[in-house]
Amino acid sequence: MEGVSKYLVKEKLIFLLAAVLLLVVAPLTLSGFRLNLLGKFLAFAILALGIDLIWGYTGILSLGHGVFFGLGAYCMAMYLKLEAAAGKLPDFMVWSGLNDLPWFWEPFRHAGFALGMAILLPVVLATILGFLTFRNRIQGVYFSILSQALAIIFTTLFIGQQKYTGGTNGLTNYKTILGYSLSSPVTQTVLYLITAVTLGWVYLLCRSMVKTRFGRVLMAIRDGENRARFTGYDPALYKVFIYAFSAGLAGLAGALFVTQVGIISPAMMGIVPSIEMAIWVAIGGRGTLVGAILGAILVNAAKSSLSEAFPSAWLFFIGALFVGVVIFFPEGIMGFLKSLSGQQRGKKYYGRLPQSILDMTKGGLGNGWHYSLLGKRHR
Amino acid sequence: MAGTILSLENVTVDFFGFKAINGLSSFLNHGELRFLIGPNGAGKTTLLDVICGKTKPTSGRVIFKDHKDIGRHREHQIVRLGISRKFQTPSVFRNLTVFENLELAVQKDRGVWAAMFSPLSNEQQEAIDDTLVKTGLTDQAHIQADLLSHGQKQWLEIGMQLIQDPDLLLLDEPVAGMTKKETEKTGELLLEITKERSVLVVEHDMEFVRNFATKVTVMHEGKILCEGQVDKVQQDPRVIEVYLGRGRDNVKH
Repeated sequence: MEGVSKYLVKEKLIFLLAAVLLLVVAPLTLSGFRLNLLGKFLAFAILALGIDLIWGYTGILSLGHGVFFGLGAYCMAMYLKLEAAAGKLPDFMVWSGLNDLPWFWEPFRHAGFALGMAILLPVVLATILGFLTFRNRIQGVYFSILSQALAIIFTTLFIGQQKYTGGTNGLTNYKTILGYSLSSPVTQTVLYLITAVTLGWVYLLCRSMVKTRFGRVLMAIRDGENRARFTGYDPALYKVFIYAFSAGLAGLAGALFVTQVGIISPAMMGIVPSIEMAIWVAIGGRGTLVGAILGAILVNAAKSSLSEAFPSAWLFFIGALFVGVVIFFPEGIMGFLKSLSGQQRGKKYYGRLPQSILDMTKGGLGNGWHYSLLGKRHR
Repeated sequence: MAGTILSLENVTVDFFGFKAINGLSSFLNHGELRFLIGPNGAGKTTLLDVICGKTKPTSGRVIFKDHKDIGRHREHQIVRLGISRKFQTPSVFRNLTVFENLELAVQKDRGVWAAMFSPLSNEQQEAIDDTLVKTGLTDQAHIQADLLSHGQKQWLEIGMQLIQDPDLLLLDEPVAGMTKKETEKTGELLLEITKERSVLVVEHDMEFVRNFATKVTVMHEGKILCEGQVDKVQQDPRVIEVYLGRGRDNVKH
């Protein structure tokens, strides 16, 4: 047990170190532009935690999380847009020939309502969709394809309803949030800090969830849905719950994103960004919450620094990076780090294993197991 | 402990015209250990599937205790009524430890909130320790289930059924792939289990059946061929025929 508590102390130290880095060091040392970028990445990390819960822990690959992210961002953007319009009709509505504010825009004058809906709307949508699919036992690739269809439907809908959504251009040109100017560095730093604190809080929430029996039921469903069912659990119920929860996190991430980036458009909720979101988690390491955060931050950091250094060829580098990680580190960055430090899940129990089993497993316990992209394990 | 726990009334399972089970009726008493044997394709596993809700019967009724027709319930609901099922190939949660596997099985409240907020009670902790002893897995309690031997995985799965404290336990070939010693140990485990509950076992290993069975049911082509004491059933010419596959012309009775 001593090994376990030492491990906990180490985890706490890393968490504190990360908190100091993000909350103190980064705001003091980074330029406004860089801090803003980092804030965007941290918002993505919140979304990645949600994807990790449903994919890494429960084995369901959703390729439509961009929709939930987008819904959250749009809810917040509606508030920002109304505040920028200062009592008049938002600019794009005027251009589209609307005379009155549509009824469903009305309550978004209140920031609290907008933020609430940014989380609630994705949760409700995911609950309905999850209920229909998981209850009918639609699984694996079929669910992934269905989630892609969701992304197409929503981008088409948002592009088509220009007078309500701003069409292809999306919603942009915000001025203030709660009366504070969005272009002021102080407001941006505060928004960054809110994002960083939210990420820390969401991480602790997810962590405490997966440490309970609930987390073990999720893994049980991933590894043997039938067995879970015949152990008396209703997998559909758990799947709907975790799908809705991760959709809520995506919505929250979207709301934080839009205040810092200043635009949301249908292009950010479509299939390509949705797939990218899954890639962050794959690169960071599925089934490890820290991996999801690292993946979201590092991939996006690599993306922006490569695009600055090689404006014409950066996409090739990103592609090569993805392929490289998938081939050489199938368990992502975290899997690689763990194999360096020898702290696989199985190894945690080395001390308590009888010698005979230790002998049998010489040459790497758990080392040979890799996840394939669709969540099945193979040697 | 007397009386019927499970009765099957005229159960038929029709897979697109192929009748895997054809108008089968039978019953099982409280505290009975019943073996279900028969050649491949006789419908034994399908029958277990019907009882545990994996396969819905095309017609007929499955009555369990005072539940009139459990054939329409969903699987996890049937488990909660007190029927538990072990599959042919060992299926345990391989990324969880032996202890965690049992922990998931011991909890009676399987809702999302309970899973998050109700920790193990002392009684449940004791039940797990007790099951670990019964299945001989105490030393392996904190290793990943993936690392167990084939036989140990089978025992863990039986242990997971036991700890659910079911009234009826359905076991599909529990000794398949086991060594002789493991098979014997499994048989003793079975006898121990039957003291408190009813067990229905599908088994191919005839030596195992002879050693541990009292009453057997022989199935053939989706129907019950005969039922009775093991030595009597073995003498039955119809049973000998389906097992040895003798041509019908040679057997006149």
